[in-house]
Amino acid sequence: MKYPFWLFLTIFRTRITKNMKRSILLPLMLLIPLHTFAHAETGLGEGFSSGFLHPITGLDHMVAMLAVGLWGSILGGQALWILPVTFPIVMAIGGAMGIAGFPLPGVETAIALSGVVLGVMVAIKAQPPHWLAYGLVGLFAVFHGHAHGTELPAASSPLAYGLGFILATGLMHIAGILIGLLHEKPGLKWVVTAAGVFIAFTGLFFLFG
Amino acid sequence: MRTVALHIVNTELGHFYAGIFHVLLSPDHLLPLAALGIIMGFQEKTTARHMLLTAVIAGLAGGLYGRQLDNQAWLAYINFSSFVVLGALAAYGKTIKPPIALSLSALFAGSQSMLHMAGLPSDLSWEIFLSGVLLGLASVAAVISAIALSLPSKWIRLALRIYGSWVAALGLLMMALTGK
Repeated sequence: MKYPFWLFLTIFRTRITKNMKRSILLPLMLLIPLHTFAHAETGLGEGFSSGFLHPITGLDHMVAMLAVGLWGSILGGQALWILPVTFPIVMAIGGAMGIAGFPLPGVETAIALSGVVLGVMVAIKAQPPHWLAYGLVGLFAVFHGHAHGTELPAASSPLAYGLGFILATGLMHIAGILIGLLHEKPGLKWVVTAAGVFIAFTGLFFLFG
Repeated sequence: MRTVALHIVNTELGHFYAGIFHVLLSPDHLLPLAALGIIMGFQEKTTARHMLLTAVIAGLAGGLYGRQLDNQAWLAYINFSSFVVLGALAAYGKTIKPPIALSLSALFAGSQSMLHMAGLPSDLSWEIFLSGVLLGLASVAAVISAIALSLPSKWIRLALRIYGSWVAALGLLMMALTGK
């Protein structure tokens, strides 16, 4: 997926300090899919790259993972470490269900809905009880994992594929957390709100599009 | 008269390197081993040292036993269950009781060596290969635990715990795939 050049120009044109530019650029760089295919991968390489690209090239997955990181930053406290530490494990439970062929109805709908719900939570900077937040995120993690898990057995190297998509998911969480930390900066709270709105609309697009 | 082999990797010492790199270049062995190193790094220094020593001794015992085994499916299951257990404990990020830590180290190292040695080709010198495996195992565990011990920053600690959760998640997926 390629991002329009104007998006980068917009970021540079906003009046922010040099230090803040760097702090925004680093997490944003994690979002740029790298299309350098100098070496045709096979085996481990192919499995890893296809697993890594699966959550990134799927916009419905990507926005939800960013939203998890963003919301974790907003919730703060223990959520800042609980979500990135437990999310992969809960997602893997869903993945194991997908591998085992355990049917889960409405996976794609739930994935789209996760974008809407989490996007709204981020946009309004919701602060529900943490147990509720974890439950909601955990529920969506199962569906995301199920979607990834159904493709894992077909991968040329399942271990590398699994490592790839777990790593990509984790990196997107980290990117979300770093962007989410901007909500504490007086002039940059709008970035987090705008991200939440974008995520929610993306979820709506997948839900009804 | 035996000729002098200038490049001894073509002779017996090649099996030693094969042992080391079998540990270093196989993600299915390296990932849980790094998780063990992280767990060691989260313990007291004395416990960490004892865990390393226990791992080497148990690795030797497991390797000697593993020589008698062929490549069997249940061995892969043991390997991936170590992903889950070690990854989960690394994600937990706290100290555990020394007897449990030492048992964990012994069980893991023993099972890993068993896996390395099972189904070894007959033309490979098993003694030299096993010594390479043990050195690779001890080196990785020692380096990773040193990193975890020496960098007390809460963000580094969080990153190591996140790594543990990734390993546990991967283990769950691979166990499901192996059991399918």
